[in-house]
Amino acid sequence: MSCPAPLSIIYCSKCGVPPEYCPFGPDFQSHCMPALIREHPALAQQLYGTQEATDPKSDSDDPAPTASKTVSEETTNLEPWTPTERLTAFYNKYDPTKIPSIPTILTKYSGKEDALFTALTVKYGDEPLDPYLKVKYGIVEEDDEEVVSEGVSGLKLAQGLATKKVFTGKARGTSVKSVEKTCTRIVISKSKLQKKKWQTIVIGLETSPTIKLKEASQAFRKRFAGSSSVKDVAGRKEVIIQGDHVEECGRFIVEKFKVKKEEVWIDEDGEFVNVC
Amino acid sequence: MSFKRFQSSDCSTSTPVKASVQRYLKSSLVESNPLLAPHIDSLIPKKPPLTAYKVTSFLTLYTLNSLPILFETRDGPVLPTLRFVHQYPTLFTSCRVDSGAIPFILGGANIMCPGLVNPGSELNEDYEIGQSVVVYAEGKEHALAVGHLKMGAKEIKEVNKGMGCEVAHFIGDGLFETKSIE
Repeated sequence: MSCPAPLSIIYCSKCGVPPEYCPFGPDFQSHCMPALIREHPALAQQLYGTQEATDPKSDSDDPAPTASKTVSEETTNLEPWTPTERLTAFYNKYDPTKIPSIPTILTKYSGKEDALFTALTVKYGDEPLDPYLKVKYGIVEEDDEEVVSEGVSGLKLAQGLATKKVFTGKARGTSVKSVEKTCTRIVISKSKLQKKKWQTIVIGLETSPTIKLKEASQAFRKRFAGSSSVKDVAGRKEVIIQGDHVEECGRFIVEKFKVKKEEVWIDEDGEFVNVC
Repeated sequence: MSFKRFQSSDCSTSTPVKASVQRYLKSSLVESNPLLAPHIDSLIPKKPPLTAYKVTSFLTLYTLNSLPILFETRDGPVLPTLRFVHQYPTLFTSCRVDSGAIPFILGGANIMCPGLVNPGSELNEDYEIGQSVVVYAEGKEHALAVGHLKMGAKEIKEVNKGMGCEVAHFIGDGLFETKSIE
């Protein structure tokens, strides 16, 4: 008897599992769904049935866009968003002045809404979440309170607040959860001991994955020919070096430990500047 | 015991499989998957022989042309890998779990009896304890795990409590992500 030919299976290009299992993964909304719509529109339609909006064929016989525009409907609406609604939500969030020109934009991009929304996401950021998808798949919106280097307030730096939420990426199923990941942020400041005596305080060395605190302290000792110690202050580690070495210490950390310049900050009387 | 944390670098010592061992592998595979019998020789040809990789001390992984297709544990049956099952979905002994069990299985859990008993699931009454099964899910097309039963099918329906099927390999685990082994 002849052997049946092997089936060719479509796997999600983002997470690698058959697309029907993507909703159980962590990045379904942000990665898998857009990829699936782009690469296998027919399959997306069949699996989720929510893709009328982006499917060019069904676009023409879809009378909804003008009809379902009222606000009351939008809030309780448990149908997937039409392109108009999607775009309105998008501009509401990012650029309300563009709302009047929505019909023009949609005519221009008719049949290519996919590309339009991809471009918009690139330009403005994440798309507002469709409440329909939220209800159907239990997707929860992520808070974008992530702090990137610029725009960090001095206070936050001083307190060594350097954590952000990220997904573990691999976990799938019930155990999907976000974990705290620390970004490297090193702050160097100095304080007066006596009249002409200073000490240099380095905060946040432990946030860099490449640095071991004790070794760093030892390196400082050698470099600055003075005492250097690791101190536990309110759950954080500080490295205290005798003498005023703020500038040099910054350069030393960047050179010796291969930390990025943007991640090392110097406290100059309450102002935080990047090491130069 | 599962492939949850498996990486291709965990494999040590690759050896070509002896013909006699390959015969044993085939026969035990056919024994647990009778539907496979007419096709086994074309699916796993004599030449080139399989290659066996040792993964830790109690797990052996068999590859054909550097694609993992079978694995065997010290005390479990010979099981096919999911990518292999996806290619030939109809040839394996299978069961079906209800939709509520899916996220747990994808997280690496074993299957509890209610998942095999609840409406939406399917389990052939004739399965004995230790039967190897490919696990499908309610409303889904593709298999999501392979494992073997820890109770007989009748007992599962009767007791309806505790672990019914031990999952050895599921979608998204380390072995699934390993597409080929060099």
